[in-house]
Amino acid sequence: MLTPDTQSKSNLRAVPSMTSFPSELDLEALRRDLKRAVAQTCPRWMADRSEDIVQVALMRVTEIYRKREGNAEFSSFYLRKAAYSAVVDEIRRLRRRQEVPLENESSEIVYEPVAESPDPERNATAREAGRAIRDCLGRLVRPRQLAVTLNLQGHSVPEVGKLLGWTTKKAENLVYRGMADLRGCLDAKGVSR
Amino acid sequence: MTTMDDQELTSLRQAFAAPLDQTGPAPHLEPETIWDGVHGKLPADAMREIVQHVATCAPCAEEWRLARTLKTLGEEQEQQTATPLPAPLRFTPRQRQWRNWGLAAAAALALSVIGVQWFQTPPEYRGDQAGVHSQVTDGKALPRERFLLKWSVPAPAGATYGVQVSTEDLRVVASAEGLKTPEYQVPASALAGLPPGAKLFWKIDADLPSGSRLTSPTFVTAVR
Repeated sequence: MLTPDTQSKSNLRAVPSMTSFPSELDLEALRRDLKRAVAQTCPRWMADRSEDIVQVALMRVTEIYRKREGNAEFSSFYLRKAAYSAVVDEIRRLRRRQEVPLENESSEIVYEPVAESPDPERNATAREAGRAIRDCLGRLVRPRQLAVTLNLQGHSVPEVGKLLGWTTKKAENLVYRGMADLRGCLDAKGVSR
Repeated sequence: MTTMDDQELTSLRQAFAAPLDQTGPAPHLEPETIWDGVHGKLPADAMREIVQHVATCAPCAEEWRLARTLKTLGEEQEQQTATPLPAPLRFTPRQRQWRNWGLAAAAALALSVIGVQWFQTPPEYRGDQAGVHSQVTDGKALPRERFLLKWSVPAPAGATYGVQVSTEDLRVVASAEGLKTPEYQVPASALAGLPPGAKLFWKIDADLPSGSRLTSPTFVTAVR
């Protein structure tokens, strides 16, 4: 094992201060936004860990910035993208850990996600409905599938058109018809809405 | 054709966003691709491919919503901090010509810099598949006088390691390079100012004899 003394021979260095970010990026605002986004979007077991997820992501962003200090193109937009990527990496890591059976992990690992809500039956129903929607979406003709997917993701009809390169009128038509198809499919499956 | 009211749309959106019980079909979209898609920065064909994937992949749909929420929050922040533009300047035809050339040159330079950076920069912040695993018990606090970090890699023979340890406010309290064994004891002096229970975030870069480099996820260990 290396002790502090022997480590000093291995280029041990102490870095006393936090890396400073360009003035256009408010690190605290980024942290706040990331936490809010995780809390709003991710399931409860993960949202409860938003503090750690965001911290890990910001560490990576800090490291990127340190490596590229002085680069004029290191914009706020790029940093937000990097932070988002780091958050997703961390979320995927947590998801994988949730799925790995405990016997395959080190016996020391004690991680167990908390229950999503106090009502397991309601959770199961919601998951079933979600699965049914995805299954039905997979059956829609492609333009309607794309339009409905974005609409279900919270995008307005004009946004759907803009993102997919359609006129608003065309997007509106496809969302309308696609939603009708989706309803029909869910009805056939006996899924209540 | 039947119509759909707002309540029903809300209900469907909630069901579509229901918590996952599985991670869905792999491979998943790269987060950078999702980000670009949400920000409308992809060609229409690529965009359609991605949205088609999102339609049936619950994790990617969740990550899409995360990016969208972040985009919305960022736009709100921009609106709050936006300052009014100055009144337009008046240029003589000669000045206008020089201004236009200047703008064109600046735009070309900016595009070339962005392009070079975007396409040549390796994704340094990725590390989820690294294969470096912590050997410190998850969630267990370590005593500050013996804050020993340990990790493992698939092929440790001949590997050297770099470690970085940071506090919650991103202050790096210690780091080391060229470690020959997969462990590192943080000097007690580096932890002296930290309260009991303070979380430390640490990550490992492993240089393997093959010349490849593994980067760990960031691990969290508290100080006792």
